[in-house]
Amino acid sequence: MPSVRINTRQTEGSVLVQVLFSHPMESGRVIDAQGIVIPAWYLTEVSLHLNDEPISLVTLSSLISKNPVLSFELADAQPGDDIKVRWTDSRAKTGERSAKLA
Amino acid sequence: MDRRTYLKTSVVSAAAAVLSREAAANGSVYQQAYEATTRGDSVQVDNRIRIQLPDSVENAAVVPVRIHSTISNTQKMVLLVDNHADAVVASCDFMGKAQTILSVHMRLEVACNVTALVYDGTRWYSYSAAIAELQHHCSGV
Repeated sequence: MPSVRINTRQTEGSVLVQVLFSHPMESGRVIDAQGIVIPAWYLTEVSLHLNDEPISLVTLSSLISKNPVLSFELADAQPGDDIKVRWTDSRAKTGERSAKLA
Repeated sequence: MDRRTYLKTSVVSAAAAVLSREAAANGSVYQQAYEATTRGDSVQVDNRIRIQLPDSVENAAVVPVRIHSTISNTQKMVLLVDNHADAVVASCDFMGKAQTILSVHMRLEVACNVTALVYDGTRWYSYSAAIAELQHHCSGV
């Protein structure tokens, strides 16, 4: 399972939300030292929710780098609002992580 | 034609054939993805879409790209590259309070064109930028 960290920061007129995944994002096109193709394993979908309301859905491909960082800017978020990130990967594993805006 | 010249010509021709087949295949992957996304609708080039890329890409495995659309009612953004086995890098659907920005890091294999497609609910808009030079580091792609 990937580990996920959510960082939030107030910027001018909006809140920057950075979601940092620790994930190999294997494309399925890399051959290891033994000549074996490393199987594809990458995040396919990440959704962002503000106070349980979906606000953004990102679909990712195998062209995304290892340990992806997704950035979102929220216009109307307030301190105390709940941020939730849900993800699915190419092995159909899912997960979620929540944070509160400071 | 002597043997050496014949062999050189054969190898060069074979390599050219492979490269052109790959280029055609990649071109077709890109074209298919583009048409599947826009469903064949007309697309208008629009500079209200901004693509931020580094001037010089020093590590092909981690290429930052940021797309920002100021087209009102932007509902969807799709990031495409040509010359790669996959054409769609990422797409983003906006459902409300998030600003219309898509920011990710790409793992590229060769220099390519980066295209952003934006949908506002009625029509598609696009903007493109090129990565002319790409350096690979030991970490590989």
